[in-house]
Amino acid sequence: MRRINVAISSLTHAHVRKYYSTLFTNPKINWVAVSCEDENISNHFKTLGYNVPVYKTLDEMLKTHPEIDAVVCASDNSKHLEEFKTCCKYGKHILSMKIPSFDLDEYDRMIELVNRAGIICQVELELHYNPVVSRMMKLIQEGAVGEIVSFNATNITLSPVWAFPWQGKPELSYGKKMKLKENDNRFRGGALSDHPHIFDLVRWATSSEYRYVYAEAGHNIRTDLCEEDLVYVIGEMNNGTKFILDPSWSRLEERLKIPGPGWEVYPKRMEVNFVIIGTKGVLMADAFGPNVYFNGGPNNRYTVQYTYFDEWIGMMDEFYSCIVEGKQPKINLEWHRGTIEAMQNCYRSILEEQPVFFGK
Amino acid sequence: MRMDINKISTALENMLNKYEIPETKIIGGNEGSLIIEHKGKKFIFSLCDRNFPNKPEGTPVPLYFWRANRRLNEMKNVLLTGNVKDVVGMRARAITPRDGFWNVDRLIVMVVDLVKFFFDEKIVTVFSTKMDNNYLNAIFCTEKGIRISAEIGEIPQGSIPSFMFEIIGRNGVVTNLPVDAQVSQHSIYVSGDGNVKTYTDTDFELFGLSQPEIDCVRFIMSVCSGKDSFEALQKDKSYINDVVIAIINSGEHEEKVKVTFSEGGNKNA
Repeated sequence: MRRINVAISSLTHAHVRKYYSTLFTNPKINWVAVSCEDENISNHFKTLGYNVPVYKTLDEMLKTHPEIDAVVCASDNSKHLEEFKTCCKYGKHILSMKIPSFDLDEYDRMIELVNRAGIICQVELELHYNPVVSRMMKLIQEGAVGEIVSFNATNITLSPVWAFPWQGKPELSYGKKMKLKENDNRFRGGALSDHPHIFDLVRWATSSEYRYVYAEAGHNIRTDLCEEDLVYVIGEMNNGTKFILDPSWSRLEERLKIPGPGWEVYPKRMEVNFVIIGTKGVLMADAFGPNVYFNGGPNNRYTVQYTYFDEWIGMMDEFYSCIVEGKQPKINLEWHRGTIEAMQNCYRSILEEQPVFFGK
Repeated sequence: MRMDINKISTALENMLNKYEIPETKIIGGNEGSLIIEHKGKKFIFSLCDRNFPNKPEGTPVPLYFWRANRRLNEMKNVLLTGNVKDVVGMRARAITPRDGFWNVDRLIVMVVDLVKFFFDEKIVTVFSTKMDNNYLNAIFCTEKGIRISAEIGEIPQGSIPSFMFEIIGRNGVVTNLPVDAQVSQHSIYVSGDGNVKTYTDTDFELFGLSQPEIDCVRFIMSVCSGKDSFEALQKDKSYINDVVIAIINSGEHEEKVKVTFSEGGNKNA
C-alpha cells in the first residue's frame, strides 16, 4: 500500500483538532510536519504528544520536507489564498478548509492556480462522509419520500469565537470588513460564514441549483460580538424545491480558550438536523445522534456527549484515493463555488432586505 | 384525527356545570364549530380558516384552541418569569397530515397567533415562499425585531406530525422538543406483535379526549369564564387575517412584505 506524506499548515482553524487524530491513525498517511506562526498554538500543539516537527512558516516546512505530497491548509479564511499560492508553487495537493474564500474573484484565482499547478484540491465538507447523511441521500435518491417539496435543515452550534478568535474578526473570517446592513454596527463573517454544509447539501439532495435566497439576521444573541450570530434563510431551487436553513450560533457556550469538557451551556453543542418534506412522506434525520448523556463535571450540567463523529476518516480516505488515482474529489473548488455564491447572496439579501435571484 | 364534536360538547358541559360558569350553555355544533349561548348571545366557536366565515346565526369566535395547550403555556411562563429572556429568535415548525383539526390555513393561523401569544408583539414584516403542496416556509419579524423562521404545512397522510417551537433568548433556549430528539415523546408506549401503540394522556379531568379536544374545551372554558374576552379575540382575528394576507402576497410576489393593519392604526407599518 502506498502511503502519502501529509502536513498541516497554520493550526488555527477550528477543525484542525480533527485532523490531528485522523492523520495520526490513518495507515495510508504519513504525517510529516506542521507549520504554525502563532507561538501559543505551537506550544499547545507540542503538549499533545504527536511528536511531529513544527515549523514557523508553510514555506519553510515545504522547503525542509520535499517529500510532502499534500497539505491540509488549516489557517483562517483570510490566509487561504496565500497558502494556496505557496502549495501550488511547490506542487503540493491541497485539502482546503470549508471556506476557501468569500471573494469570488479571489476564489476564481484559486481555481486557476490549482488547475495550472495540476494538483488535487479537495474542500473539506465532512458531512458528505457522515453515515446518517449518506443514508438520507440514498433514501432520497430511492424516492423514499417522493419528490422533495421542502428541504429543511439546521446547522446550529455554539459560537467558536472565544476559542478561535479569528472567527470573531470580520477581516479574518470574511476576508474584509463589510457592514451587515445599513444602520447596523455588525459585519459579515459570523455564524453564516461558519456553516456552509447545509447550503451544499441542499444542492446534492435536490440535484438542482439555487433560484433565489432570502435571509434575515436577527438581533445578536451575544451583544459583544461584531458579527451576526442568528440567521434564518429560505428560498427555492430551480426545480421548485423550497428550503429553509438555519446556520446560527444559537447554542450558548462557556467562553473557553481551548475547547474541552464544559464548553457547552446548551446541552448539545451542535445540531445538524433535517426535515425533508416529500410528496409521499417525510424524512427526519439527525446527523449527530443518538448520543450519550451525562451530568457531573465540570459544571454539573446535563450534557449530550457526542458518540458518532468520524466524518474525517472517510474524507481523508477520499483525499488519499484522489491523490493516488489522480481523480477529482466530490467536493472540488469548481463545485463548491455554487455553495459560496449562495452564502454570498444570503449576505446580499440581508443587506438589501429582499430576496436575491441568481443570475440577476 | 377527526374533531368529535359530541365528545367535546359532553366534556364542555360537564366542565361548565362543575365550575358553575353562569349563563352559558351549549346549543349546537357540527364538525369544526360549536354554538354557545353566553349571557343571552349566541357565539359560534369555529376552527379558523383563512377566510373566517361570518355566520348569521351568531357571532363567530375564533377557536384558538392551542392557546389553552399546557405545554405552550409552560413555555410562555418560562418567558414571563425571565428564565429565558431577551428573546431574539424562534424556530417554529407546524407540519401535520390534514385532518379534522388541521389544514394548512389553520396551521398558518396558529403559528401567527403563537408569535403574539409568546412575545406580545405583532408581526410587522413577512417573507414567505409560494405555497406548494399546501406547504410554505416563511420568516417573520416582530415590532421589536424578533425573527421567526416558520415551516408550515400539510404533509402526506401517515407521516409523523411535528409541532416544534424553539425560542432563543440571550440567556438560553426554551422548547417543547427534548434535546437530542427529533419527534415528540409520548407518555406510554405499548409494543408487541410488531406494532407500537402510543398514548399521551395529559389531563385527568378530561381523560379520554385527544390533545386538541382537551385544548378546545379548555379554551372555550377560558373565554366563557371571562379570562379571555370575546372582543380581544375579534381584534386578534383581524390582526391575524392581516398577517395571513401579507404571507400570501409575499409568496405570490416573492418579495418581503410589510403587514398592513386593517384596524388599530399602524397602517403600512
